[in-house]
Amino acid sequence: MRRDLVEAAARGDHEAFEVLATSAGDRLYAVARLILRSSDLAEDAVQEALVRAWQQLPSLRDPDRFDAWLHRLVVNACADQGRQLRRWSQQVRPLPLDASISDDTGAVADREQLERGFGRLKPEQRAVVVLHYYSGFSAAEIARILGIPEGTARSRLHYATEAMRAALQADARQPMVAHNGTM
Amino acid sequence: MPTDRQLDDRISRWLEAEAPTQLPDRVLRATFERTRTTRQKGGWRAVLGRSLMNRTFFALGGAAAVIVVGVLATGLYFNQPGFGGPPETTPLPTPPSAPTVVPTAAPSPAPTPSASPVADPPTGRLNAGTYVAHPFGPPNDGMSFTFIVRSNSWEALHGRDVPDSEESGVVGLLRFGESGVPTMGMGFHRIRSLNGDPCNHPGTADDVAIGPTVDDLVAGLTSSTEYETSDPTDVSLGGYSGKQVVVTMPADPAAVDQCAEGYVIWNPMEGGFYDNAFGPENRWTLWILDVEGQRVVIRISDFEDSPADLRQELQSIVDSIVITAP
Repeated sequence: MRRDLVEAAARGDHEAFEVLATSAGDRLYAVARLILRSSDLAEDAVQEALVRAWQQLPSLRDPDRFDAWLHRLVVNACADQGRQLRRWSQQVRPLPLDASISDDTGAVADREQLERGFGRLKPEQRAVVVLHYYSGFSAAEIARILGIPEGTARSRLHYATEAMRAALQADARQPMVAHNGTM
Repeated sequence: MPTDRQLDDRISRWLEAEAPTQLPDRVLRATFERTRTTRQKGGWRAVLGRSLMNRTFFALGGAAAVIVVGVLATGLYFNQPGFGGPPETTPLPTPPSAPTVVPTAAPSPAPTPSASPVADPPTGRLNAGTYVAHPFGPPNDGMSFTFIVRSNSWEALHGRDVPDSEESGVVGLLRFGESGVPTMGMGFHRIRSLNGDPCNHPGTADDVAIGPTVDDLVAGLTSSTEYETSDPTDVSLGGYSGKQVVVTMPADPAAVDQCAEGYVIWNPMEGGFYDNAFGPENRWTLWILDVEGQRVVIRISDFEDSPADLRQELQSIVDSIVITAP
């Protein structure tokens, strides 16, 4: 059914495209917001990615790769959002902590440290972390999605994971502040 | 110190907790407002895909079902999969008497077109017959390509139906696969420059300028490391000579299918249309000809595993081309 929708949308069926975009929208938005750490930028990135998807769907030869292709478009759109602001790595700030949120990691301090470690990553490393730990893609799949060698995907993922491990191990905790210009 | 597994779990759960759960409706509304008024790109695929869909809609919605069933059953409607027509491997009604080995660098004799050719038919299905295409705008609008189609299974693509194109006649032919997208085709081209990175072709920053001659384009194509090219060979087609080069797009799907703007190796002359690769390992067999001092490219687009009989059929169309230059 989904393949049929992709093929119909690729032939110009806008209703089919709306079904596909609506079903993928929440997931793409989550990916974009995690990478960009900004709701406004993430909304713009998702909109741009979906518009590009509509325009470029006729070029997608394998309908079964639609989801992976959408992820690539949204990651690219995240990068474009940053470039448009000319300060991709400087505009992005950690989300404010919400102490009311509890999770299995237990402590707000844990989240704080993960936040800090994640915030220090380069955008391309952040994208790999989100695609792997949130979206569940393997390094090989990430490589295909991003159009990079598998070794590069593994290397980015390894570095990013180690950076977050280091953050968790940090002895000294610093107060959470917005890091304009410090990422 | 957390173990790898513990750390993985922590990061996953943290991201799950941080991730928003719902895209605001206004974003989708704004998106669809834009897409409803935005044309799809993709060159031949987009245009003929829509053409096919529209005719499907007409057939199923505009006619009585019994008539449609009758038409499909008797094969009088579209002669293609999905419409009750024969499969992709249907033999040619009138096979060429001397099938050409493909790709070939040897000059092939051009059959004489029949007496009453059809000039620049509209986008859509062609019947077997002789056609004349005027694919180029000024200053080459007087150049024509006469060719013979020997079956009823090819689609013409008219330049006026191609987004962003100003070409005023038939610019190519297409054959659809079972999934409703074109898998083989032939095109007429005038090339201005090459793209340094075919996956990011918009803009001119990485354009590779090429001179106006056949050898200039051959040198540009064969020096690219983005795709594979064959050694150029001498060729003659339609009464003119030049070079033949076979370009094979990358095999990695990520390098071709997932390009946001399509995988586009070259840029057309002003008014021409952008044509992207059909997919990984798409093979372009190019006849790069010098037609009275104008460089013209005739291209067959297919895949290594394209059905041999269809490839032969397409080759016979190319072999029949007679070029007339004013």
